[in-house]
This record gives sequence, structure tokens and C-alpha cells, in this order.
Amino acid sequence: MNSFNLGSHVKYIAVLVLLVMAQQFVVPFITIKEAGPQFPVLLVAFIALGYGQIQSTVYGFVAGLLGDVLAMETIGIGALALTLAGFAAGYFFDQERTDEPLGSSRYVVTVIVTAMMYYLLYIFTYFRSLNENVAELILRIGLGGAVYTAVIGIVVALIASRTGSRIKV
Amino acid sequence: METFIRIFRNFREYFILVLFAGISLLLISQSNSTLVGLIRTVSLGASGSLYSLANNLSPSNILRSNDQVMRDANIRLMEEIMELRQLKYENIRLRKLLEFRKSAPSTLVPAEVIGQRRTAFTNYLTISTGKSEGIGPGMPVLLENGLVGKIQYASNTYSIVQTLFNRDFRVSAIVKRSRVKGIIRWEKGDYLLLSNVLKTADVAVGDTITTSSFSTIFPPDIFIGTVVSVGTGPTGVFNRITVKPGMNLGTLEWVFVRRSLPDSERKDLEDLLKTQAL
Repeated sequence: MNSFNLGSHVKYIAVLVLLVMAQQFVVPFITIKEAGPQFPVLLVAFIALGYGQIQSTVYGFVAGLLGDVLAMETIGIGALALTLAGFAAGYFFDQERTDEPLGSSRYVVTVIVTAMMYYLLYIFTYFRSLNENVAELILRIGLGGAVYTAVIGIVVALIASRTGSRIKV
Repeated sequence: METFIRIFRNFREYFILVLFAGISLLLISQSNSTLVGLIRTVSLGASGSLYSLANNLSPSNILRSNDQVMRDANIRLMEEIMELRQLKYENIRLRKLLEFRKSAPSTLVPAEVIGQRRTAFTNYLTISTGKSEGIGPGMPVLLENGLVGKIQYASNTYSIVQTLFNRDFRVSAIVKRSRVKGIIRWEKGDYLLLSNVLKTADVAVGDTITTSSFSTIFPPDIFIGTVVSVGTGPTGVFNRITVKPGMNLGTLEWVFVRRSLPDSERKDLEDLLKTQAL
């Protein structure tokens, strides 16, 4: 298992802030039929595979909270969804396979499961009081968003596998 | 104590999960508290500046300056003609806005749209006016061609507008011709829905929809849109009425904020009735 030092934290928090900002400023322009990718999920899945469940839960919470604050949403909804999604992503952690988590097919699977969990929880929490067709929203936005995120995850995995050891935890 | 530490060590993932999920739930339940409001105001100030910067450094501005260097005299002349045409249209548009402002109550505050926050479920605008101009949450935002939304949060110099294209947005509306009342809401796409209208109600394609006097936030008779289709809703009891909004979110550059707050006396009275009903 990789150890987490202060330097790693600073590096990953910086990446996290960039991803959350990209989520706010870039995603509106690349959304297809209301379904857009969840950039912070890419980092949460990476942390889950490289460092384990506790770290992915904490990073999920921080990413969700930052996203809520920036998006002017009800603060806590994104944090709750991404905390639980980060926790679920932690189940993919394998102590024997923590090196180069980005360049593996396991990373893509983790991304899609984490993204799906996030959308599922977000839609359930967000629409709990509104008279909405939750199942339709999950299929249209949740599944669409998860697939979109997974496609970006595949691109990240391909780049990482090409660059090999240069992208290590 | 040792047993507790052992339990914590064995189940620390679950303790962490419960802790952060608990904090999240606490934040959701405290969404209207002063602390959360303060966080939002600080965040709005910071992100408003970012949007303002991004607006000034937009690719179109950069491209325009590059083009000026690259293009030859003929193209420059053509640009000038186009610019003149654009100015003519802008002049017409600004005249319309000015007329609208003159005809509307003097409480309207003009504001530039400097950013848009869009997700699958929400749509917010960031505008360049805030508390320093007397703007506060709940104030209606409109244009000469219809209702835009309402102020959700305000910092000193910026405000967030919750637009009609937002799942949380509801406004009491009326069909101008037949006086049938309903609720305007947004589900997806470029159109709005007029819900809670019975199948037997008199609503036809082309009818004008405006705000109704039932709303405590919006003044009555503000244009919202035009009915484009009337179908049967999923339950069969209500109609599914699609409304084309008057305003186009994609082309918004300026809006007006009506500096008026909801009638607190009326709201208190209605809230009292709700409390008694519970």
C-alpha cells in the first residue's frame, strides 16, 4: 500500500481543486443531452485504487463539498453522494496492486462504478422532495453521465498505460 | 478503552464514512443557516471575480484581437460594416430595454450577465450586481421579453440568479385568455411545463402565460411564455402543457432585477395557515 505524505496531499488537493473547477467551468460546454462527466470521480477512483477506502472516502467528501460550494447547490448533497461513492470505490482497492492504478482496466471499472454510485445517490437526495420521475433521471442522466465519465477514464487509462511508469502514485 | 480502540481500528473505514456522511447530512439540514449563508457569500464573491475574469479573457475576445492583425484592408472594411450593423441591432435592443425600464416601475436595477452555472438539474446565472445596490435573495429578475428567474444568493458585488430552467424553480402562473391557473416548472430541454392544470381546463396552443397574483415573490402579469403543445399527463388527470419561454437563456447579456421583496405580511399569514394545517 502506498503511503500518504504531506507532499502527496498537496499534489492531490491541487489536482482536486482543478478538477472541481473544470467541473464548473468546462462541463457545461461538453454536456451531451444533459449528461456530462464527473471529473472529480476520476481522482477519487485513482485514490481508491492507490491508497484505499479511507482516503477515497475523505477525498470524495472534500471534492463533493468543494463542488457544492462552487455550484451554489444545497451544500452537503454532492458531499454526501461523493463520500458514499468514494467509500464504494474503496472496495476495488487491492493491496497487491497499488502501483500504476491509472493504466489498468480496473481503473475504468472503478470510475464507472463510482460515477454510477454518485449519480444514483445525488439524484435520490436531490429529488427526494420533488415530484420527479427518479428512475427516468437515473437512466438518462445517471447512466449517461457514468458512461461519459468512463469514456474519459478510458482515455486517462490509455494515456497512463502509454506513458508507463511516469505516472505512478 | 482498549476495546474501543480495537473496535475503532477494525472498523475505522465505517467510522470515517459515518463521520463524513453525518457532516454532509448536517450541512444539508442547515442549508438556510447563517454559517452556510456566509460560506456561500464568500464563495460567490470569489467565483464571481473568476467569472468576470473569464468573461474578459473569453476566446472570442482573444480571436478578435488576433484577427485584427491578420486581416487585410478589405476584410477590415467588411468587419466595419458588420460592426455597424451589429451596433444598429444593439441600439435597437438597448432602446427596447430603455423603453421597458421607463415603462416599468423605477425599482429595476440593470445587471450584466457574467457567468452561467449549468448542471443537468440546475441553471444559475451570475450577474454583476449585489447587496451594494440593494439586491437581496427572492427578488425577481426579468427582461422586456419575459421572466428570467429570481435572486438566490447575493454578495456585495455579485448575485446568483436561479433561472426558470432549474428543477427547484416553481412559479404560480396563469393562462391570460382563460384565467386558468397552474405552476410553471422545468424538467428538461428548452421548454417549460405548466403543471397542475386539469384535463378539462381551457388551454390552447398559442395562449399567453404570465405570472399570477398567487405568487408572493413575483408581481402578477409578467410574461413567461407561450403554449406550444397540450397533451395528456402521465396520470391522465392533468394536462401536460409545454410552454416556450419568452427569454432565451443562451443569448442573455443584460437583465433587470426588480428591487422588491416578497410581501412579508402576506407570507407570514400564509405560513401561519400552513402551520395550523399541520
